[in-house]
Amino acid sequence: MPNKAKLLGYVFLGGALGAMLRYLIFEAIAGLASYPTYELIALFVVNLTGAFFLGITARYPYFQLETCRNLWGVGFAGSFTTMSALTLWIDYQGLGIEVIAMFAAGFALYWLGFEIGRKAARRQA
Amino acid sequence: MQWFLVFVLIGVAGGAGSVVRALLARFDGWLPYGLFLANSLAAGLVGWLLAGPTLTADYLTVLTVGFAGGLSTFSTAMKASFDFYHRGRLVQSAITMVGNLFIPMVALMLAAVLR
Repeated sequence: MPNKAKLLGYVFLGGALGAMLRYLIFEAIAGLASYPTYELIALFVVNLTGAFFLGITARYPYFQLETCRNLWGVGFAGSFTTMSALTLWIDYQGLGIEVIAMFAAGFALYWLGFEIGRKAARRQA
Repeated sequence: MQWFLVFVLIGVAGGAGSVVRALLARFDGWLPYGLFLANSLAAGLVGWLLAGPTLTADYLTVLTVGFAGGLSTFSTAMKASFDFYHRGRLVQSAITMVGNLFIPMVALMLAAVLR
């Protein structure tokens, strides 16, 4: 069983990768549209893909190792998605249907990822 | 600051934020209190940073995009809500969802007011 410091090291590594990739995606999308459109598109992209990916990690066999779960689940998927930027968006733009839609779609995509991972686990069992 | 240095510092700050979030996640009970706390602290930090101290744009980016972004999470909120739903705990699932939407908003407003 890996010790706690090592597991937190994996969280750090995954978190660093997630934050850097999110920054790149925001910068890339910022070049395609103007504020606030790009911010909303980028939020949808990172939060929905991140929720879907975290769903896959829940049951998919590869991610059942504690180190992989900490690196890709807690670290990467956790850091890749953001709530603070979404909260700031709501503060500036108001709580609209797009935010509700993001929560609903995030839940649904997490579920889809969860089922994909579960199927893969069944195939392997 | 050079673009690449900002990029690397965002990684370091994002990693640090994720570790804090992982440690806070242990405060878990009837509801995922640690998750609410992580998202609220991140939103509060963003509110405070934007309203309070004078920082250069680069440091502001590192702290908001990197640290607050790494500390806060949308995916884990969906996971927490789905896990409750999956176990038939619909009330906890709904509170987790709504709580993650509104509690950080309150934290951000409070931080901006109390700066």
